[in-house]
Amino acid sequence: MKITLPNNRDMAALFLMLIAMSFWFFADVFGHELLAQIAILAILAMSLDLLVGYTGMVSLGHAAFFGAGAYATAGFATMVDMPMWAVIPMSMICASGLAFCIGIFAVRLVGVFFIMITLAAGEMLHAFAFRSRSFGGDDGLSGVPRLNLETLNINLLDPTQFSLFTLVVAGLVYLLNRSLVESPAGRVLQGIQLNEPRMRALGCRLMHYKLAVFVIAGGLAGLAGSLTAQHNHFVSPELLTWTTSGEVLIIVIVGGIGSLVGPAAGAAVFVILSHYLSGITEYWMLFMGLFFIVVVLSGNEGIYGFLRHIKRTLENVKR
Amino acid sequence: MLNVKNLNKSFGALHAVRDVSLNISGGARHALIGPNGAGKTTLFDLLSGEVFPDSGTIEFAGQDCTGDTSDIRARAGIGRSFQQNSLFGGWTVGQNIVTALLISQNYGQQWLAPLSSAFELEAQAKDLAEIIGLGEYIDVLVDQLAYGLQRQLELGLALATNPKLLLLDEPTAGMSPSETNFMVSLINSLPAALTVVIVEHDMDVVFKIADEITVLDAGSILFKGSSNEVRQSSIVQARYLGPYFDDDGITSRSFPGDARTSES
Repeated sequence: MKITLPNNRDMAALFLMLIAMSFWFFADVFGHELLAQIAILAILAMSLDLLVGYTGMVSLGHAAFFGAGAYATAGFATMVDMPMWAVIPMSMICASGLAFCIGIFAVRLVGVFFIMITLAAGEMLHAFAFRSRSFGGDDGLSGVPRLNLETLNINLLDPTQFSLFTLVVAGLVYLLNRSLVESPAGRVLQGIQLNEPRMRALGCRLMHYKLAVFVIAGGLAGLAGSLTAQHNHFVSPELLTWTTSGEVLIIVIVGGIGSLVGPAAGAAVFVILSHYLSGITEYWMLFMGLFFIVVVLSGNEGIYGFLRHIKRTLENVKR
Repeated sequence: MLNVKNLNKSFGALHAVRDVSLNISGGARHALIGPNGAGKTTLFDLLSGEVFPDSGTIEFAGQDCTGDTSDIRARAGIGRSFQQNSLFGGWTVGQNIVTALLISQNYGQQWLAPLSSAFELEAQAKDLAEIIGLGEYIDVLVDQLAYGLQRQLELGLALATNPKLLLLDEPTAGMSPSETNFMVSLINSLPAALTVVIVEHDMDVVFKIADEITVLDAGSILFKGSSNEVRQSSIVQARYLGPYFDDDGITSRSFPGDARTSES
């Protein structure tokens, strides 16, 4: 008997990582900037996939934790002069703490009400950052340093090495998320997504699980935020807007919800399209939107589902 | 085991459950019967904690659980099956049972261990699948199971929590006669110590399973007694069973006007 759920996730993840690494070899300075952006967005998308794809919690406020991580990094690094090796975990803790405070109310709600409370919480944080003098208001905070790994002979101020660093972190986040969703607790989350009333009747503490995964996803989003603050050397309230949340949600759906690799691939497609298409036409979001519609209409399985379909077809041809 | 006192529940102007008191002892096989709208399902939902009473108390295993939500009651030992199958679609029979076992045995707290670390559940799941007659279907997706087999799994998931009290909401609803027979023998083969409360329309099934019966009518208890007393009670016969008995016993399988699966 097989008690685990079938997936080719790891193969797909390895494949995606190989593509990223070969890209890394040939990329110019600008290519490395894009690569770092992709890796960071992939971390954010994978963290949201834990909620959307594995627990059935569609959050439209994920940017709040992303932004909280970014602002915490900027704040601790520029105002308190905390060393960067401590700033990154502190930022994750701040984002998790925020997720806990919001989650304690949000996980009691389902469907559109959950979407609304996450959206409202995110917007509140955005409004605060936008107005707050100490956090730089609409100008944001600048002068954010990067993690110092000189002792390991790594200079993260070099775009080549920073992009490799973010790729490694994204790979680690993938491995962490994968073991989360394949753990007994991960199975419980997927059970909640499939059939909440049954889980309750079985005696499942729904709120505990939902809150736990909300806090974990918030912490990982905070990590992505911390990396993006270091990448850009500055933070602005734009990181916290609900359009950021919406974009990540689109990336997760376009990539294929509940696959982890799909959202990472979706992040790559989004960054590349937004870069190259925006060079060609001002209406690049229109094409992104069309792409989104095609994905949703074709059964909601996204890029990951599409590739799996191709693989299956090829296997059938071979026979 | 289960002690219900003066339970009342209204939905707007509808007084669905009126002043119902029940005392069900450990190991009993208790059936709730009555026509559509008698309040059986509401009473069931009150017992499992899906809805809460306006007044009255529910005591389970000596503990007051009137205000407890359904998951707390499930952990205390009240298992239930649903009238409409409520399974984990897209998963196999084995994965369905393992998930239920994960919850009931607190494996769900493990966030980083792989699922295969819970391998002892595999053997338990196999045993349970054998008991509910799904041994050979363990790797079949539940969506591909025949309806009757899905119904057996529905009971299996309730059993997976190792309940002390099992609430079965029309376990044979929509089943063919042979499937119904299997379900009846399955329920009769459950451990004698397990208390079973069943809502059922099929009077054949009720008389085969239950040793005590509560007849509900318009939200209140019309009659309570052993199945023989109910069979012979003039008031019950006059109201419900009468026209459906001949000299040999039962000739009709259900109450007048009952579409067996339509009550909700």
